[in-house]
Amino acid sequence: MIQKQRKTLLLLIAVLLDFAFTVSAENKPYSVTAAMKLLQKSCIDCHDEDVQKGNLRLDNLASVKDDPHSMHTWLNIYDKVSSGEMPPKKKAFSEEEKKAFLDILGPELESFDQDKKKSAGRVVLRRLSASEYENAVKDLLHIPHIEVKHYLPADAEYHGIENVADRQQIAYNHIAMYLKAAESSLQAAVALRNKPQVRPKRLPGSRLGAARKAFKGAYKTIGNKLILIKEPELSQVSWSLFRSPSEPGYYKIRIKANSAQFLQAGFNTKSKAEILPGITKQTVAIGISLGRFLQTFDLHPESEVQECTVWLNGSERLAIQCEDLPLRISKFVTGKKPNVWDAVAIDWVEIEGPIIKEWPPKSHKTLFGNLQIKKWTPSSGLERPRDIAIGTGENRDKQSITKHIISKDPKADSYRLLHSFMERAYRRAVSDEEVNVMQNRVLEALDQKVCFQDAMLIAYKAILCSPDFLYVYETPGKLTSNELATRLSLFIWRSVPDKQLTELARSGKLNDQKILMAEAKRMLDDPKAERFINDFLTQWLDLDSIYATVPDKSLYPEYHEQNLLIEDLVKETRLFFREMVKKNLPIQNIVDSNFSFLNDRLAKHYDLPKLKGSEFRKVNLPEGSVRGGIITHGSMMKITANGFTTSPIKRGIWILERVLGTPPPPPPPNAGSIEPDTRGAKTIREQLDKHRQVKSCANCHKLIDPPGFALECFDIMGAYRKDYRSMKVGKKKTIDNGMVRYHIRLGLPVDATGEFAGEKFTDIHEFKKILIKDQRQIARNIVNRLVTQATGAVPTFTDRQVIEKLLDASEKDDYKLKSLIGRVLMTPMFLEK
Amino acid sequence: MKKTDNKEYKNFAVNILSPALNRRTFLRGAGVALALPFLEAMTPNAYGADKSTSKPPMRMVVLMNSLSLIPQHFFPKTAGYDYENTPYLNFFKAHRKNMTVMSGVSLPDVASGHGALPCFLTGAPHPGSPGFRNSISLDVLAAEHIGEFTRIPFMPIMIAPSNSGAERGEPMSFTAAGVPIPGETKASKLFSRMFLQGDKRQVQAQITRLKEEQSILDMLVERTKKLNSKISNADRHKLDQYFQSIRELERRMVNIQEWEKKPKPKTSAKMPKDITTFTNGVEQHKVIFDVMKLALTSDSTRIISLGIHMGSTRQDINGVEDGTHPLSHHGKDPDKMKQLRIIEELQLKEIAKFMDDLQETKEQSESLLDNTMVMFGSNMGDGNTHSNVNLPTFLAGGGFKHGQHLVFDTKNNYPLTNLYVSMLQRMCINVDKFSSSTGTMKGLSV
Repeated sequence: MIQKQRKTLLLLIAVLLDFAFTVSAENKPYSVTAAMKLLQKSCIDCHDEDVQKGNLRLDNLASVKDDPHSMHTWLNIYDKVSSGEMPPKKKAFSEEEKKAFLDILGPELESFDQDKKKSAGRVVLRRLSASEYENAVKDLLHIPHIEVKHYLPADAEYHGIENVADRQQIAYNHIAMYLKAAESSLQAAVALRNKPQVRPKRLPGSRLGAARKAFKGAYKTIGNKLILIKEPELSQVSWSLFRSPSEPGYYKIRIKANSAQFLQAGFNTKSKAEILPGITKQTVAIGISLGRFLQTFDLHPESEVQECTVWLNGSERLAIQCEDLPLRISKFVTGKKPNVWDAVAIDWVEIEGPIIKEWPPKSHKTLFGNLQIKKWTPSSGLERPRDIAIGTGENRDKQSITKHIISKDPKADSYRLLHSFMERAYRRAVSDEEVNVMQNRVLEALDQKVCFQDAMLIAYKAILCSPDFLYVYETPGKLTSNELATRLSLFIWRSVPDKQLTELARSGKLNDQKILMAEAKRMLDDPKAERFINDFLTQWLDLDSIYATVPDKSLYPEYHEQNLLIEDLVKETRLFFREMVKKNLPIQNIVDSNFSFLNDRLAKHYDLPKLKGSEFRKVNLPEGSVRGGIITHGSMMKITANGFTTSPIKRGIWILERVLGTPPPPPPPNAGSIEPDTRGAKTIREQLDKHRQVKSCANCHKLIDPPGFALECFDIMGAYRKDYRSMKVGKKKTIDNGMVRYHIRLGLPVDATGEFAGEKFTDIHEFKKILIKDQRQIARNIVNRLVTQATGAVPTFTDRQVIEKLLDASEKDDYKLKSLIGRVLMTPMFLEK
Repeated sequence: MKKTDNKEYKNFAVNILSPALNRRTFLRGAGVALALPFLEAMTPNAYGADKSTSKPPMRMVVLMNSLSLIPQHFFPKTAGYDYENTPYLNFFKAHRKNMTVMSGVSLPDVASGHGALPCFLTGAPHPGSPGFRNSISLDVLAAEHIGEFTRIPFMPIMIAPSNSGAERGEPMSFTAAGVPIPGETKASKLFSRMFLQGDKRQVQAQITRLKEEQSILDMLVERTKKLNSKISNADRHKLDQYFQSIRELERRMVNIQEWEKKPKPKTSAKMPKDITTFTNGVEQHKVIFDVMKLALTSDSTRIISLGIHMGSTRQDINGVEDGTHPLSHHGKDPDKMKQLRIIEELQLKEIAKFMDDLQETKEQSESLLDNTMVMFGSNMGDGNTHSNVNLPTFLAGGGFKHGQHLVFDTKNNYPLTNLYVSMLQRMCINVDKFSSSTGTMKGLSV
């Protein structure tokens, strides 16, 4: 034992000495041995090879110089000691000891960090993330829509952020996928086929897929109308309409339909059926089978024509989803009288498109200019043109091409086309030599009698796989105007610069901060900024995970298979955050606000004054509403719950990690976990109280649990609740949503009280008030994330001072979001590598 | 782990995963590859020119059920050869002497509930921690060594009957750099790759494409070399990883081309019909297991890893009213546990059936199961508590001395990675350590 300790001690000395070497005598008020003694006294017992609390081992921790990755751990040590969280109470440092310790560690970390910035920059060579790659290809090729992101292996995340350069790994399967993605994107861009015919095609209800196909589903036709109802034993919500044309593009879809009532003695009888106008509005959604929502329509008792314009990938199966149809027959009467079903009645559906502005499309001209397209014959002496896939989605058809592109001067044409494409893809001027390498490959293929387009596509493919396109080159120190342009456009558009930004970059003007700011403003106002808004939000709040669990059928029957409600929850958060950016709102709106974005469904779900129609609008919330602020959005409550229970732990960690940016350490490996109990005998709070009596758990859980308790007043879908639900015991209750009645059981009452940041709260209102006091920390978290996403590197030790200054400057305007973004762009973190 | 639906990626990933670093000779010329054993005769059940002297190769099949199993129905209470039977193990009665059940095993320092899934075959510690980086998985490592001998170096497959994006199954195969390789979900695609012979023009077009891509890789190599001199040391490390990736793919492409030129084996089996409805997860097991059997008997691959992700969609099964994932959070509710048991039993029945089929397939004097290690496991020990210890595990076949229930300390678990070392060694792959292993599996011998 003693020997072991000695060994540990020796190692520790070695680690610290490595630090201490560069500390000059006059800067060193406290000796290394003093710091050593402190570690020996207070830390090593829990963080040696045997115990390794919190996954931390001090005895084999390398110095930053030996292993730059250890910086993360050293920073962690610095922070934990600095905040007083570590060492724990029993072994705590005195104020003097703490200062001594930090005074040795701090300057070391600082000087290391600054050296690194000078020599290599704070970010290492960064590869385009999968989304950046997809956007870039889309913009370079002028294809409005393409799905290639999913080809690429997922990148490792850092607190949800996917573009952190030093976490990026690449392997041979990436390269294979880059080849594949380039090929399919390029094929989507080429258009050698004839201009597609654009004729509106109208299908009466009786000829729609759902009516024609013999599949088990609840439908009827009366005349030309298709009647959709929901049968109790088939919980079918989606009906097939038709397959879209093979040509990808924007299409107009029109539907004439209404909400209806269907009357018949029995559904499967031959007795006379009758259709009457419906009593309620029905919201239906048009989408691609098994996946993509396209548009929702509100159907009223009166049949009307409605229209939307949507992108279709080609050969996709369109379907209609009727979730508002009650799961059970609303007025079921047996006997001779006709039974009545709520129904959706469709007169016809029409599709028109693709909407073609020019032919060949811009994507084709990007690659081949205005070169002539001619029919290919074997007598041309050229190889047969290769097959090209039509469409951008899953169901692409390979089309035999018998046309080829004629270039009268292949040398000049290939040079011109390649040069302009390379400059855009590489985001810089390219040399003759670089173009020549690509051009030579084209000429070589032409010599082998490959036709012009196929020869060019080889070079284009190489360009889209080349390190010049895939990696973001930056030189240490101040970024050049070009490098700045790429950084800026990757940040705000998640893609390559456009023409204007490129021109400014080439002229060197972007180094002028005024011009940089004006560009940033222009770019944030551009529709492409939606990519930043969406990606930032999705990564910050892990928004995609909302689909991970499905509400339990017996505990939450009213939510089961309510996909439209989930879509609405996501939409609220997206619109809300968008508003925060666009309107430059203060950061405190994350915690509380007097408005939100709602539609009829959400207003009802939140028990707010009634709204009409499923379109979203900005709504002022009534005084004293528990809504307002992202943290109480239904989306957040859904993400932090599973299908049938909520967990204060999960929600607490979510507040600490995502809102405050101070994630608690992971539980010790054998901590075990709370087994959810839905029998109704015990609340989760009672179970957690027990948990917190265990000493090793208490330390973290006294931080984690309270914010989670405050959010316990929201159920798994974000509706306000006073009682838990129970499977077995408890009072029966009937929920009537106007169309359907559900029976559930109420369990024990919810207790949403607690103590956070030293203050007691009795409900969510009081909790928000406490949380909002720490808006600087919330702003700090957002800034840290902005910096990371804008630069590809998490803030370093010395960045912290910069960020604190930025926060100081933002304090007086309440940390307005758009201003925070602008201020980040002005810091050396953004302006230098 | 990002939840992506990498369909296209999957197909290609399997195709390109191929020769091994240890086969240096392979790189020097395409012709060399053809001289390797087992590559010559690609008809089903033929592993060498002379059947009497060449022994069938060893295969590895890993089955992983991501929502675990209800532990008390799986683990026997007694140890040794005459361990008492349990409801779940009862399905494997016929194989009792040819399998080893293990309790008290897990992956050291691998926790975080569902988050442990990417580590199941890699054993990489501390998933979910900020500095986490995954490492090479068992199947990929095995493929590095023996993958070149078959058309499909290894076959990652997934059963994921769920319509929710996040639950379409997470990969459990990883490259050495920790890059995920997702599994294929469609039996038809696997079947096509193994048996569907394109016409002459298609084959030629494919070879032309591969050749062109090789020339592109050459251009990229040259370009990267040039760039290398222009960047800082720190950045060079990143670019070097890109460079190595290109080189690695070049090597693999040689092998792909060779296989492209060779005719595919013939089969009397029909193209499988994929089940795309999310409510028929158990039916999907049948289709996938059938295609797995074809893969093994035709020697199209020797390494298969199947991840089963039952997800949240309610399965169309009598007596089951809720999705499998919600049911796994049963909160000890007997009714939910009953429903979950119905699903798990149907799954286990299919696994047992797969093992029966391997047992019945004769290979020289042995059964196919004798030459196939079938390992079953899960990333969680209990779906209800999300614990990552005491993983339900068994190994069948592969010519080991079986028949026991090996019991290790349930408080202080024995590393599962030791079993991986034993499995690798059984395939004549010369390793004595894999990830967190401390040796070979105690109590398991040939």
